[in-house]
Amino acid sequence: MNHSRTASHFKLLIVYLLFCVFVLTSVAASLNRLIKRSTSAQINNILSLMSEKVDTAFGMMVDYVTEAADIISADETCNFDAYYDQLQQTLDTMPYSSIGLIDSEGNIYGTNGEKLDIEKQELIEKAELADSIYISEPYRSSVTGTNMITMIAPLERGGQKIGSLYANYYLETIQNLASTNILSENTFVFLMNPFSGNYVSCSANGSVPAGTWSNIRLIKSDIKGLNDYDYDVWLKNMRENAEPNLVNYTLKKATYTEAYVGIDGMKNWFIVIQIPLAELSGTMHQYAWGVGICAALLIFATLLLAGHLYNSERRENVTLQDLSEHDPLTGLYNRRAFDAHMQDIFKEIPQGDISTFMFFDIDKFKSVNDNYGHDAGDQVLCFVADALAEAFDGTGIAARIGGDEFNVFIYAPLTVANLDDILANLRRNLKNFKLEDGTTLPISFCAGLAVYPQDAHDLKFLTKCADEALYHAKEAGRNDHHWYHDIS
Amino acid sequence: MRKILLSASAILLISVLFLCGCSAESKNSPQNTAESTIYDFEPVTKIKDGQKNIYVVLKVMNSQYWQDIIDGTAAAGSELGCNVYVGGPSGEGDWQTQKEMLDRAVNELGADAVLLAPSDSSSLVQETAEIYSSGIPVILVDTIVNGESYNTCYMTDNLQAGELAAEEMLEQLVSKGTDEKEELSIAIQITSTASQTVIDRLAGFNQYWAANAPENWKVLDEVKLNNGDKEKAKQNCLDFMAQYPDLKGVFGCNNSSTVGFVNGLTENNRNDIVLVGFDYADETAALVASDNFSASTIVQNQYSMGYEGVKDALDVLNGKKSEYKFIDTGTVVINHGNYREYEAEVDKK
Repeated sequence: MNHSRTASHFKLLIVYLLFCVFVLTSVAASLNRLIKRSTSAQINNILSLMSEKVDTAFGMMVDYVTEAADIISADETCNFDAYYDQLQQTLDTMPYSSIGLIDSEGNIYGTNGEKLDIEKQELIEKAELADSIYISEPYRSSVTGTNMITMIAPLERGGQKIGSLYANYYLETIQNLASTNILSENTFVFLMNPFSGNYVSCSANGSVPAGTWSNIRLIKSDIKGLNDYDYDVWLKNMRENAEPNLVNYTLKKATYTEAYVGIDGMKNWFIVIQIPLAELSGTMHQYAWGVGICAALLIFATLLLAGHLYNSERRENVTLQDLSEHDPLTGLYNRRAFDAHMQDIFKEIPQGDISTFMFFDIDKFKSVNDNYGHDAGDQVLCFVADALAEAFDGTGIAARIGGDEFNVFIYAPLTVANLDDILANLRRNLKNFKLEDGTTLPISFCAGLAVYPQDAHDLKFLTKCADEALYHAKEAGRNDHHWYHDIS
Repeated sequence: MRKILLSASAILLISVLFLCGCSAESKNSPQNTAESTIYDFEPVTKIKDGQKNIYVVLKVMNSQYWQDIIDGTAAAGSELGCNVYVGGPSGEGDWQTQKEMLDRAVNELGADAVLLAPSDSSSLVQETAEIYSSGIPVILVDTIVNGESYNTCYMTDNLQAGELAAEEMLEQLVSKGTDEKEELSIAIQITSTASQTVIDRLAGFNQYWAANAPENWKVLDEVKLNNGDKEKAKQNCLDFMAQYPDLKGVFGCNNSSTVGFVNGLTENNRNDIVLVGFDYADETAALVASDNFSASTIVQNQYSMGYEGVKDALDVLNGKKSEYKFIDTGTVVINHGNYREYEAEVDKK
């Protein structure tokens, strides 16, 4: 019965665990779906915001140049040396790294490095072709050694062009001006020409510095468009400056979303903002992992609790069983448990083997209680119980069936002579009994024994026979044991 | 019960490990552990007491290209009166050895100035910045390092060199009488995507092409890599020819890619395809000289990198700092029309 209860506990626990795993998995799956859906919606919003921000930042860079050109255009003195000196003083507060002038004769007011670059890159000739502001392609600057862009704005007076103003920008200025607290670490900005496939980074990426050129052909075979977005379609859209300006794709196991913004004054070039999708959903996934770990801990805690409850219940059961089977004072079986155990053992005794039943009674126990107190009586009972348990250890079971009465069922095939010896020993032991306070209190007993199968053919009759033998022993003056076969 | 608890803990432990396993990425261990012999510093000028000592650390030592740079430094050293010592690792990409050599030149050998052709643009930033900030002139040749902690870099403007290559390709196609409306393909081959030099050339080529080539003349999306292996480079050429029947031009972004194209075109006798490449390997020179093929190659002015580098270092030591961080040493297109003059000039040197 106990065994089957453990098994059912175990089954319950397995079911509970499976249930938990099922719930966790379905929660995780639905959370994942939710994250994916909300991420792609959210990332497109963020990307639109970022695009606007980058567009504004780039617009600011252009404005600084056109405004400076406007101020000089409005001046009447036409003193380029003075203008140049004034412009140099703006360097501390303005985001451009250098600024200079070109007069109508093509003389450059700037450093030798700047002069070299303007001539080498043929910037004056290229700027002539532009309507108003001209923005160069990124080129390696002689002054800084890194790739930079130059913006050139015309200086006009009364509809007449009197020269131009140029300013040089580091490419990371675009990213710096547009930087936000959200995602700034992971957002990459670059300039892209969808006709050539070239792109130039505006932010350092690992060991690759800002201003590094690359070409989409080098990675295109690894790019896989997502959600019906085809990368080639996106490039075509960019070439035509058409919507949608967004694309989602995976590259080397990472997922990105990109958007482009057109640039006035920089023909065929676009600003592209790239956000790794994993970065945003990474935050959400972290949250999801957190929930997952909490749930796992909760299951673990529940299991611990269940284990603890099960353990204490089992301990309680053991105590209850102990209480229900044993005499609380002596620890011997009580009558009910003794009867049950005796029945069980009796069935197991091999055919032809003998067994013996004994009624056992302490002589004049009542007077011990009356003369020495109940505590002394308890000590006597315990001493007798221990002595009986010891005498029949491994050969029989003993029980206290009430007051000073004990039953012993000897299942081992002991002979009458054996048992006579055991009882004689027992009698000697009890004679030497001392109370805890040292008072000598010799105990005697009388007992009646009956042997199966000689005296009786079943247990019920066997006990009756033993009882009769005890009665005889008592009648005969106590302090002795009688065998049923002697009196019948 | 204990068993149940144990298995429950095991499940928990496994799931925690699984979670950790998902988030922890294994970090790649740094490469560049290849062993290579060091060519220790050897004087390339007469060593005289009282002269400034300039130490040159190159990328590799055993090729004509680098010998030209050494010749440039030696010529400048002899002409301008300084002691020049040159050394470098035997294998490419060995920036660790370069770092050790720089350290030795500055701290043990008492270099007054150093010239460096960096094998890695990011790994040597700190070392060069330390030397530069200690007041010892650092002149870069051939390749630049990130940042601005050096005096001046003498190298090819590779973006412009790529543009020049595209311009030459267009001219050759036009001079062959190719119809502007004809649909044709141009194939590009590079060493590896790790080399910014070749990427700049590829970008420059595409930049010029997109702006100037007829609409039907397309650069293929596919770029093939050869990792410096000339056999692989030739195979790439054969594959390109088999895959794209309308192939009419090939561009090799560096020496090995160019030689691969040369060998592939020669093997299949495809003189209908225009080749533009880089550097002047014997195979390339032979194809340029051939009357049957349209082959051009871009040569760099590496001699000038060495010469100007040493000259600049001496100027800095004499208190005349350069205004420039980057000087383009220039390139020349060599084709069937001018190769004789070029070879005569090389022979003179």
